[in-house]
Amino acid sequence: MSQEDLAKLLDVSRQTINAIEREKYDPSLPLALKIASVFDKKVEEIFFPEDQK
Amino acid sequence: MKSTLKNFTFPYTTQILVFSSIMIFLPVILIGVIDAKKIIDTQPYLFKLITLIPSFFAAIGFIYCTIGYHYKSKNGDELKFKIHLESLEFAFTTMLVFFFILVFIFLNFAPVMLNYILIILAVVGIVAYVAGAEFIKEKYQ
Repeated sequence: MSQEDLAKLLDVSRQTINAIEREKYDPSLPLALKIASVFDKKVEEIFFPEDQK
Repeated sequence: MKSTLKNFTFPYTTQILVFSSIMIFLPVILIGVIDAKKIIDTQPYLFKLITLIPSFFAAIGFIYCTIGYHYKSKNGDELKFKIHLESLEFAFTTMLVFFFILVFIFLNFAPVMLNYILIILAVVGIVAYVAGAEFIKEKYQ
């Protein structure tokens, strides 16, 4: 899935998806839940705190 | 009606902004073209209409665009909204600092120039917002 496709699914811009992937931006909770729902995973399986990386 | 209002997305904000900017300067252009002195002497109400009607349309247009931009920022992409808020914070802080500097300079060196403080602050605010937005976008790229 491309960033563009994911952005359209989540109703955000491609720049937002790019910033999240590059760890430059932390999404809001509703957006994080949407992302988890798209990939059929739990939020904690996609996003990790800084000290656990 | 309620659902129409709820789904209203303030279209054509750019076009209305351009139109309002033209309306702001239209009285000045019209006064330059027509014989203003003759109209002021013979028909003062017509002169008032020439200046008031474009200003009224400009005011309505600017209010529409301001509300529209606010609505689009708030309901748009969350990263863009965050960049917008950070840029506003940078612009406001810059304006505050400039305000105190300008008051000090104008009161001590040129008190007559204090009339222009609003224009200078507006320009500083706009430039600081635009520059701030570019710097902040780099942070998230």
